[in-house]
Amino acid sequence: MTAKTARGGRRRREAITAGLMLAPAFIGVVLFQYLPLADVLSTSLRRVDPFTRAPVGGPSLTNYSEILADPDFRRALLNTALYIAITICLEIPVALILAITVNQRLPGSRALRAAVIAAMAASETVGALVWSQMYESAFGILNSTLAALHLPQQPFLTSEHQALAAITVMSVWRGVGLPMLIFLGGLQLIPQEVYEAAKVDGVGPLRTLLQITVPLLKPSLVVAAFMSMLSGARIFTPISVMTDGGPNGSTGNLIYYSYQQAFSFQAFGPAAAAAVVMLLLLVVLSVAQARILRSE
Amino acid sequence: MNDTHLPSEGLGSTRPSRRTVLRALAYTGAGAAFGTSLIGCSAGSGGTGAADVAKGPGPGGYALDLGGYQGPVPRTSQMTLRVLRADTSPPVNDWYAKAFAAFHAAFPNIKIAEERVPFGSLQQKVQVYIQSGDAPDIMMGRTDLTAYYGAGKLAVPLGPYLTADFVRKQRASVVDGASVNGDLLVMPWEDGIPMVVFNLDLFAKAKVDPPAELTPRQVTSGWTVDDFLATLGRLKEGLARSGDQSLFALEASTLGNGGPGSNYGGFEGHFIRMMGDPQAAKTSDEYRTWAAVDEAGRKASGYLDSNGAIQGMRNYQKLFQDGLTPKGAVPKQFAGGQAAMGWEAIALINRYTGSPADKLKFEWGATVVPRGTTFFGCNQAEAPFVWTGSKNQAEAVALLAFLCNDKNRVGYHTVRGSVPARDDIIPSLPVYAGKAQQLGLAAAKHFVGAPKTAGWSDYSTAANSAIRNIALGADVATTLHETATKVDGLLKKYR
Repeated sequence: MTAKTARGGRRRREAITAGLMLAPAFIGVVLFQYLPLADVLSTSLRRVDPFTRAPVGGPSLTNYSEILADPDFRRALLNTALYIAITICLEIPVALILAITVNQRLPGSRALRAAVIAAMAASETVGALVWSQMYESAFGILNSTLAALHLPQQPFLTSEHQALAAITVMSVWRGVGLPMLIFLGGLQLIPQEVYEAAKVDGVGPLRTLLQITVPLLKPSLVVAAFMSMLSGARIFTPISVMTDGGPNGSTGNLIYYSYQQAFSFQAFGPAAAAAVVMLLLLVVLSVAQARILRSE
Repeated sequence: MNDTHLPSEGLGSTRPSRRTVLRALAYTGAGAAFGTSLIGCSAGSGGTGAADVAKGPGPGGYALDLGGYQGPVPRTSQMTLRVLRADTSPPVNDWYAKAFAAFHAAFPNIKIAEERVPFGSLQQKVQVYIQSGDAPDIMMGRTDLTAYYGAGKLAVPLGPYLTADFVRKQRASVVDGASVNGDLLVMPWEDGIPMVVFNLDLFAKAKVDPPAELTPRQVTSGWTVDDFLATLGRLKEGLARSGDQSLFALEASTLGNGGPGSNYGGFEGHFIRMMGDPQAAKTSDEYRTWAAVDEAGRKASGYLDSNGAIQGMRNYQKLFQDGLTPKGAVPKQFAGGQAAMGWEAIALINRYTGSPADKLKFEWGATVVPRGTTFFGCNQAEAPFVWTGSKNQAEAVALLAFLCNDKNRVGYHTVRGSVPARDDIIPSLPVYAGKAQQLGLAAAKHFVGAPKTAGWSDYSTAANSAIRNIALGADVATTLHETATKVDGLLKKYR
């Protein structure tokens, strides 16, 4: 028995042990990540029996051509982009303001932090139901307030022009906690000396924010923007609970479109094709995010 | 740095690249998916066909009163019957528990595992279970989806297991709704009768005369849809004069998820179907308005968007445009005294009458739903079916038949409040002695039903969405034309 053979045997044993230790995670990833993905890809390329979900005929791109020709799909794609844009534009500034407020330990900042985290922890469905009541056209608290102020009442959820924004506001209310915590962590890493030096130089609060805080928070901003982008792309529960994708398809996004195709219309092929498009969209956005992070 | 050898590199050239691993995973996944789909294909094709059903001793010949069951004696091997149904009120849940316990006591080898889901999620859960290839033996379905169950061969034909006498006892309209091509696919369970309820106190407050009182013989000469809309208009004006801005003439729909476009079969579709006529020539607008879909059940264009349908939806839109009812879902407006009228199922009216907890705190009455060209009624009611993939079909039918024996039916409708699917047990239910209930039962005998299509689930979902948009002000004709085209596309897959 040479030393080389003994080393080889040890390596084999180590490889087997490593393999056994990795196996549960590997099996989990295959079962819950790759298998469903392969199933979705396969379904997106086939016609599917509406009763049994069994594939019918050979692979083709018919599902993709069908959804691309469907105005509802095109609207859902556009809405997904709008949700992402509005979520980022609302969530990031609000989260930043909240984080700065909480970080300064002003009176009431603990209550504010608790409120934001409570919204994040609350059930999304319950939140959507509460906001539905708040937006209600006849008795909702928002319209009652507008009426009390002699301002015109608003059809928040029943207007094609307002419903998407109304849903995004609810989603931001619930989701602002995470970017706020990211910013809070970032703010606590900024050395106090920088602020003290700025104060000595007579820099005002706005310039301090724009020229010191924001640039030093850039890594946190990129991460928070990425999280907001993902949450904007994945809005589902508020759409399902508050508007069912209406009025006139003005609030339906890609996830809701895919869900409706699969579970309301038994159209599993188009549903899978829409899910693949959504996946590609998220991959593109993730790659863009990764590049930005790498440049940082 | 580049020359450093990591331990793992000792595997040499046999080490798979990341790309190879991903490719292998994709192939594995695709293979498994293919396997899964094969399983999906085979599921549902097993079980006993109607022709194989052996006749048993028939009524009175089993260890328990299995009602109209005449199939084979339940086997003695150990088995579990899985039952999926919508969650109900505690008294109804208790009724199910006791009935299942009695069945298990008579057939100790048969366990019953019940799964309850929220009412709104039930049909989706049924579809997902069927597509998974591992569905419960018994699932609560709906009569308006019978054609869907038939087209997909999802439901075991019940006729061979049941006596002709049992089937004859059921209301003919329910049996018709529960059958496809003469095969009884879902068990007649209950009937759906819509009625209009009105708050006499609010009518008095608005200084509007309540709907004329009808006797059961006069049910077909009640109010028309124009009378109905005119009454709502007067109510709105009268209630506005009272100064209470929170009051509405008509409550927001309480059916389905509530609000406009939540239940085409139970509410909104009435406004369309009542403008049609099943007796008219098949090429006429009246016939197509009533039919909603062509005879093959695959085309909605020319039907969903017929002139009659457009007029019906304009009537419906008036409810919202004129502020007669809220544009969103508001729960229990009528019961809470915030709406002068409600369009409700008779089961709810029974609860107002028979349940102390649901007793209304104001004077109220009930009348028939308005009629258009015809007197259209609901064709949607809960009805359980036995899945064709079940390995215990005879036992599952025996359990359903037991739940449908005389004693159990009376017990069920007493706690549930719904309308029995058969007239012979009505005298055993005291609530039906009420004036409103007598009127409802009489109306059910005259209601015009609707034809069925395999794609009804898709159809009604698309129609509900269109109806919601119409309620919010979308152009009626354009919306119905677009929706009909969309439904045509959705129905393609059933060809």
